[in-house]
Amino acid sequence: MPIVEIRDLSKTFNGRKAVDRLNLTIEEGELFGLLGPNGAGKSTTVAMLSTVLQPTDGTAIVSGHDIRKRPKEVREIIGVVTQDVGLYDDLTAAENLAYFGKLHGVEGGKLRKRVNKILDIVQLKDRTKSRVKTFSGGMKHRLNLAVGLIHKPEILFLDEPTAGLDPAARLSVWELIKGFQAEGTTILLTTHYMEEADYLCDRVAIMDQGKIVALGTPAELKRSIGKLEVIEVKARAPKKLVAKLRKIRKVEKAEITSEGLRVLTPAADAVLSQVVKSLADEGVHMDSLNIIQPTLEDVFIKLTGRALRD
Amino acid sequence: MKFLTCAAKDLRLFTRDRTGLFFTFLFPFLLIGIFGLIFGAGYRLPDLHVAQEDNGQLANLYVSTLENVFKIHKVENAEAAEQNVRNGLAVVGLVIPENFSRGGKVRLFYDPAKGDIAISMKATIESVTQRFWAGGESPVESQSVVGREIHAMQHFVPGWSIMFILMTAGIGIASTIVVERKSGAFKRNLLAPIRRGSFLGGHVFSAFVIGCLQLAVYFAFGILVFGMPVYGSPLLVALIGALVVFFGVGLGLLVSSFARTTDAASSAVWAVIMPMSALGGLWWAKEMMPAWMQSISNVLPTTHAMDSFRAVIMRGEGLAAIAPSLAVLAGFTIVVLALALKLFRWEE
Repeated sequence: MPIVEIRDLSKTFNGRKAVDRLNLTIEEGELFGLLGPNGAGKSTTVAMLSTVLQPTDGTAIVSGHDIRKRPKEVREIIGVVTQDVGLYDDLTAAENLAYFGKLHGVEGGKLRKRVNKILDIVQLKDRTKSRVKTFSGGMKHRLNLAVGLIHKPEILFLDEPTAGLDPAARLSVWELIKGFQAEGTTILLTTHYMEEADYLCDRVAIMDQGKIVALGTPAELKRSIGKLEVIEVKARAPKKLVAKLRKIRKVEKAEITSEGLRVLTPAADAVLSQVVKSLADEGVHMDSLNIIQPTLEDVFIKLTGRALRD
Repeated sequence: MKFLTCAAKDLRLFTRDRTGLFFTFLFPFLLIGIFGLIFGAGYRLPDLHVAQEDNGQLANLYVSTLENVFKIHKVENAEAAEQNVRNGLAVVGLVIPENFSRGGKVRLFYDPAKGDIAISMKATIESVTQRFWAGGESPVESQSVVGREIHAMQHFVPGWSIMFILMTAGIGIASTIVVERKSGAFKRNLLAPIRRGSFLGGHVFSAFVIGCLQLAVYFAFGILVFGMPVYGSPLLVALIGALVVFFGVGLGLLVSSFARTTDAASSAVWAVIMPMSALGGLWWAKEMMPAWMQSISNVLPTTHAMDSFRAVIMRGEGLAAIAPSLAVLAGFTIVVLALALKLFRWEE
């Protein structure tokens, strides 16, 4: 049963369409991902769904409530974790949770119990009375997640919940998110990390320039680009090399990514020697070279001709 | 010559720090300018209101002598001279009686609420008159129109209270909102199922409580430590204080809608409050300022707040006497709050 129905949702900023006639449904209990580069319109979509940004056109129904007509009711049943750590540095972890809990109508003994439980879940029980300004970045992110869940929302919007975190902290946030879903919370996650979407999400919508360019489970999306393999090169590659690689027969796409280079081809063995030669001709020093199965990043490259950059 | 590179970097950073530039150049200019305009042309005494009941040669000569020191403003009779001082139109009123030429004593009405300026004028008149009569017993009969002792703290406590309450309320609310915007807490508050009015109302109410505490602490300090008398109703003092707090809160909200950093927010509040304090007579009696500056002063909310405080504390006046000033102060507060609510940025 759909819990979120997005209908022709659009947002225009100074003539630029940040979100362009978006249509989407999210099922109850699902962990749904919006994947796309920065500026794709993911956060704008979440801002509209969470009623802090008025749509230019279209609407969405969240658990039976129209975001335009019943914003207060929508805010009662959603939890939102924004990119910014929206906490009060001079309040303690418990005080922050209690404050936002009260704003959501959780009071008294129920609130105390919930604060204790949620601090336990996000592994901050021992820092209950510490001021947030003494926390590390990872701890702040965990508390930020906890605030989004303090009132047991039906739907949790996570807007880039691991942006800027180191790999260890990111992993710990991923495990928390999995745990929230296991408790029955529907989650809409936006991210520009393809591993995050791949690891966490039941279904993923790939967004680019305000539109959905692909939708499906991570496996379906990866299959959708055909029987392609990826030659992944970790190296500092010049732009002109990409043009050269694209001219090699049987190379479908070649793109520079944040880590180096990705070449999409239906016949990796056949083109490998030419790829290596092109790299050597340009004097590129390789840290590593692997032939791997396509990822969601390759789906994005295939569909848009661009990489999901950091 | 690496130190030059380091110095050039520092200077570049300095030129990009708008707050630093404000406090380095603009703010001192502002204060130097105000002080210069007030005191630069020398110490100016307010007009002396004179009721001349004796039109004889000697009395005319006496008036001419006074004209060497004061600008004389002639009034009809003794009552007018006294009333003008009582109403705040004059600092000192002088009555030259019918029998002046026969040695009759000059009567002098002064408003001690005007502080040093009144004392200075009174002393000057006494001195001029004594010389005119070439010594002998004091030919001036001085009378304070409020009939009560005036305490220096009755000027300082309300003056500094107004300034610090406005500063705290203005900077406090503006900085809190700027920090909330930057940290994302602002957005998180709006994501809760609360009305926007509740969010702003919370800010306004907390600033109001802090402002009231300030007022109570400053006045308690003046009364308990310095023995400052408050002749009027404490409720009126609280009412004036409450309006001052709301004005500061409105100003802070207004500033928060355009300031992007806490530094910018405090600079903006300083830039408004400091000139308003100087021109509003919070630091000195406004009567010391040149006439054109007094006309500016008369439209400022700080002036009306100070006039109201002085009327209640020094003269024990009631609500009716300070109603016009309260109306001006309330008007400013409503306009600033309305403007702040209209311009408040709810979306980034």
